[in-house]
Amino acid sequence: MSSPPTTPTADTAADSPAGLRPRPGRLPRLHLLLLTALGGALGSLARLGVNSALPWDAAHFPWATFAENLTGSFLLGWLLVYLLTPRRASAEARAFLATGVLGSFTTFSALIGESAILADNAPALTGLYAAGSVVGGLFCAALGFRLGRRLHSTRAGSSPAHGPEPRRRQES
Amino acid sequence: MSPALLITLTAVAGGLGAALRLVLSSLVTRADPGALPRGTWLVNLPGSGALGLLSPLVASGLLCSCWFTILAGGLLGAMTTFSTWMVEIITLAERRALVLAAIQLLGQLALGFAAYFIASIVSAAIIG
Repeated sequence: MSSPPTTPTADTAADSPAGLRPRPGRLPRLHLLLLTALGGALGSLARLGVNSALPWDAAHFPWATFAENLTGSFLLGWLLVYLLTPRRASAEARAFLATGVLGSFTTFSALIGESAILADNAPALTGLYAAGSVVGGLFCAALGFRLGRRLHSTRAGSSPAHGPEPRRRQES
Repeated sequence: MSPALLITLTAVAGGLGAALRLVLSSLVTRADPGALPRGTWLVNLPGSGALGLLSPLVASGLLCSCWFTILAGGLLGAMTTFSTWMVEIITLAERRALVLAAIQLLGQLALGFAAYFIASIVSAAIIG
């Protein structure tokens, strides 16, 4: 987070907030929509599994959502770097894995809802949970980028120090 | 509701939520690379508001916890996203767009809470 970008890997991530937007302002292509839905179903099932394994009683720290959001942020950062290496760029993989699985495995609404419930039941935990999720999520996303660049950038045919110009909308 | 049906419906709702997220975020065009990414706002704020609408229904017993799992956990959990939001903020920070990064982080978080609380107050008032 403190060093300048060494590869163009992060750009497309922000250019496509939901992970994939080849033609801004238009509806996504049908097969990408279906892949996203399939990935979303799997990501939701995985989240349901974690929620069941780490049940939350409204008065303690919501470990399940916390764990889902942090691991999902790390994996998305890594995956987006991986999918930007030229030979692996794939709109289908991005729709299924990034937008679908990881986008659905992580959740914003539960973070908000659980924080609000904690404010009633355990006020001291509210700030810890909300701030901890955000700080931890940023750290994990940055870590995912960094690990991805270290592992994949040389295989992309350029050293991290002098990579090519950002390839925005590579997926289009 | 049987566990198998609950799991199936949660998965279907999650698939719908993810598709809805892709469609909603496709509606906003990105003006230039230095601008604020708007897609996550378009899913996370309505998703938080919808969760605020549902919560009083569960508390009052009008909605069983199984449907809360399907709708809040499956549909809204998948329609909203945390990982893309984090990646967007890191990307803005790496570009040294620190003001935009702060707006993306704190603005979306604050409005997410506002949407949730306003919706839950409205919902609680409607059901009495």
